[in-house]
Amino acid sequence: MEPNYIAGTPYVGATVRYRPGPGGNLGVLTAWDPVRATARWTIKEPFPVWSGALATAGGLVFYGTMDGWFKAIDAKAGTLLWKFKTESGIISQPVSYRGPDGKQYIALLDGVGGWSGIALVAKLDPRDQSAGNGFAYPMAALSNATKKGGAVYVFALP
Amino acid sequence: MAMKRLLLPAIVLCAWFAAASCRREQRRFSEGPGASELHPDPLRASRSDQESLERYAKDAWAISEGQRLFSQMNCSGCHGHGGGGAMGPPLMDSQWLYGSGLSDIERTILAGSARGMPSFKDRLSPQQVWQLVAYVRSLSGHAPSAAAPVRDDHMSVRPPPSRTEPQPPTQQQVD
Repeated sequence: MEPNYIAGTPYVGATVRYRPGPGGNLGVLTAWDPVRATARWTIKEPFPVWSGALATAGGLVFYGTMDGWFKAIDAKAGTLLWKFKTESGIISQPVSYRGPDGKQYIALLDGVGGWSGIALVAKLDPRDQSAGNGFAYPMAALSNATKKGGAVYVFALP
Repeated sequence: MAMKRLLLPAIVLCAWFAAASCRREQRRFSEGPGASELHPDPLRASRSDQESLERYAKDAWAISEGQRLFSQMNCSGCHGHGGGGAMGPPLMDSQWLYGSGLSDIERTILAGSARGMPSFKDRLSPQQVWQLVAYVRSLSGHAPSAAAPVRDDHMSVRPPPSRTEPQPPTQQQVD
């Protein structure tokens, strides 16, 4: 590699490839016990968990996956309570708010993208394992799992 | 005694092999005899631009030089090291935004694009641009098999252009 500084072009002196870690999954959601400094529970995901997690006072954890599943987890046990398939993949931060009617709502923005989603969004060629600075190759399956898009979803808690 | 007689020839032979292996992977990146035929003086060139582009696109040395420039000029930073794309569009597939012809690729390198590609007009000689055009064409499998690169200069990230099926070019709309 011989990188040159040329205005308007990336200055990257490396050819990068990515592989899934042991287990074959690219993502995992982990709940930490800060007192014992250990992981309380983990949930493996096929794709990187690019969304933020939202923990509510009612003992729920919400997060979204890049293949478009919005999930509610029991905060203590780590078990899946509910899931909802969105049109596109999720890389945003879910938020919780109290509506004017006094009820609690969960709002979520879907729409896949970002570095790990660039292979799908920009139609990169995964035959080149360095495409998308190395992320196109491990994310090739995402193109069959979801599509481009964008919408706001609001869910009411029971 | 037989061992002693063999010792000197054995040392000489080992030294010769060691010296020869130093040059085994050395590749020539300068113009050799006969190369001036490929690089006519642009001022006195009797050939048109199109003729030069077509000559370079069939020439193994020109394509190999283009491969070196592709990483040296940071083309690989946006288009991927094997042409699979990143911030910039892929160059190894069948889809083309600004034309797939040799002169279309030359124009894009010289002028850049409105969507972010800078102009390389003042950074490359006409010959270097033709070398880059030849390499870019080879990425989608359009170089003659005798001239197509069979391996990368560095870590291999894709099947080489020599093993890439020609991708039929289709024009895409710039959205």
